[in-house]
Amino acid sequence: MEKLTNFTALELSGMLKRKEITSREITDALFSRIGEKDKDVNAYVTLNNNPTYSGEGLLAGVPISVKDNICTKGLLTTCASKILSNYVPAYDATVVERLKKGGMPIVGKLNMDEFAMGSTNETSFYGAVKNPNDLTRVPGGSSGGAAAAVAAGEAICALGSDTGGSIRQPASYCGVTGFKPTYGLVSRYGLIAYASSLDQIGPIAHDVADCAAIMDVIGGHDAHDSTSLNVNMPSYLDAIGRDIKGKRIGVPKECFSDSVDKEIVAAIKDCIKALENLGAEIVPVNLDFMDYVVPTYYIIATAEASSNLSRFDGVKYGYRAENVTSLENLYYKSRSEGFGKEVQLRILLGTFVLSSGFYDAYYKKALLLRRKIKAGYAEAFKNCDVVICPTSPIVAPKLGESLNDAMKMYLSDIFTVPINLAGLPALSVPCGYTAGGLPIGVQFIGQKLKDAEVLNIGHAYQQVTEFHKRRLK
Amino acid sequence: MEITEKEIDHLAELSRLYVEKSDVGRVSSRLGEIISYMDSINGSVKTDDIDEGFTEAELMPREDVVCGSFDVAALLESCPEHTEDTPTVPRVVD
Repeated sequence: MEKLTNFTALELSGMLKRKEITSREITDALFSRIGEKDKDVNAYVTLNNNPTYSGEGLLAGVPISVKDNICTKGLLTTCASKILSNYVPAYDATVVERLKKGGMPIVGKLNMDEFAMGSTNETSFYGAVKNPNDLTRVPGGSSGGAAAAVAAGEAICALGSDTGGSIRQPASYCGVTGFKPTYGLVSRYGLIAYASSLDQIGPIAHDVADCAAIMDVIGGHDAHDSTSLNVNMPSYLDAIGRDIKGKRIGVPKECFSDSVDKEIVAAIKDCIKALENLGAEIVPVNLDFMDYVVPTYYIIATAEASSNLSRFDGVKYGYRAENVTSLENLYYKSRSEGFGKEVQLRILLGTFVLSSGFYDAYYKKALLLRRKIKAGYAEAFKNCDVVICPTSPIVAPKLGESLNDAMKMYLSDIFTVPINLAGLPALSVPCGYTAGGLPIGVQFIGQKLKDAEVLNIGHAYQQVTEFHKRRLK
Repeated sequence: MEITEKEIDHLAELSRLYVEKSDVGRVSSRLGEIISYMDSINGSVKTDDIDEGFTEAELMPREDVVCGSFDVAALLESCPEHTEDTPTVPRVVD
């Protein structure tokens, strides 16, 4: 029999229902795989020694792993930062409550960039995560641990969070499937905030069907989150598997420039052909705002981060510096010793764009540009149902390469950040490999609350391709 | 755009962070690089035609009813230093 860690969540769910296996056998297989692989991959910060379950649902008994910025009652939640290295939450995030209600045992907490600030997973206090496809390369970030764990067979599926591509980009680098839902569709209650108007929790798994099934477990209105949308949520699992004949796929020329790796362009073109063969109609669209999406994103994200992270002061929870001389000194010392360099830099940058004399030129300007970006997508969606583009202009870089060139790291987010600024749903699906064997991801972007449409097109593509079926030894 | 040492000191104070003297050059150059990139769009993209009176998020306030509260003892378990019912900090008033 094939290894249990190679199956998808839905396959395992079927085997559990037929009583061919037990949930305990799956978690034992995962712990054994983690023991074998994680000394190299470093995907986990904390393992849950008692991954039991009692709830009921389609995925009952199927284990899931959770990014370490999502609160888990009684289980260490560090945000991969020294400042939360001793933080054990007194409550579950709403998504964790729903996993438990749905009977999904939690295997452990996944490594990430510190406070989700990074695109390479190298800023973690717990050390860099390595890409299981090539251990000399990064897994992407900030949900690098989640994508790497699924790719390495150390997790069946995972929850990540996406502020500017943090689910989709690592999914693309690691060769797995990642979905960022419409802003407000999944509760952020219990997600440790980076940039509240951009953050969204979503699934990472081997295929689109698993992502849809997990969305059915975690999605829906939550009164604890004032930005949670109170809308009727369809079953996403029921919504996939439909014909995509006549669906209009928008191809933006701005996303196929010379700055995009040639092997990635070729893979996306093959994907477009596959969709055409399925009966989709290919139409050109303009995304003429792409030149300013990265600075707009970094102004808004760091501004919100500088405010959100002011709560970490060494008083109520988390790391407290020793030998302090005053309350002020306690704040300064706990924060300076507790936050890593990239986090401190982003706090300073966010403080700068919000400070007197610079607010109008940077923060207010960025808010206006965000409006333009939203309007630009609305215009594009007049002519198409879904926009297609690469998830990232590059494949996974070597470890250390990006941290030495921060601007390069920020620019590599160009295809993912505008989606968060506009609050849209987007999916990254494996669509090929480079000659060197590195995964390539294609991104499908949909209109607000048309999450089912995005998932359906991604699923249709996976029905005629095999890229998502590759399993690492 | 050049970010001076004085500006870094001011930002550090607002952020309640110590930036070591030896690190000022690195921080100044990183911030300067990013801010210059942001400046590159400021002049080139017009935003005069956009309505400023907007809010980004669609807030969904909950019903104004009293909900359960956290158990103080459970919260204090995560607190670095505390009495039986509250966190403690260095003395502010002598």
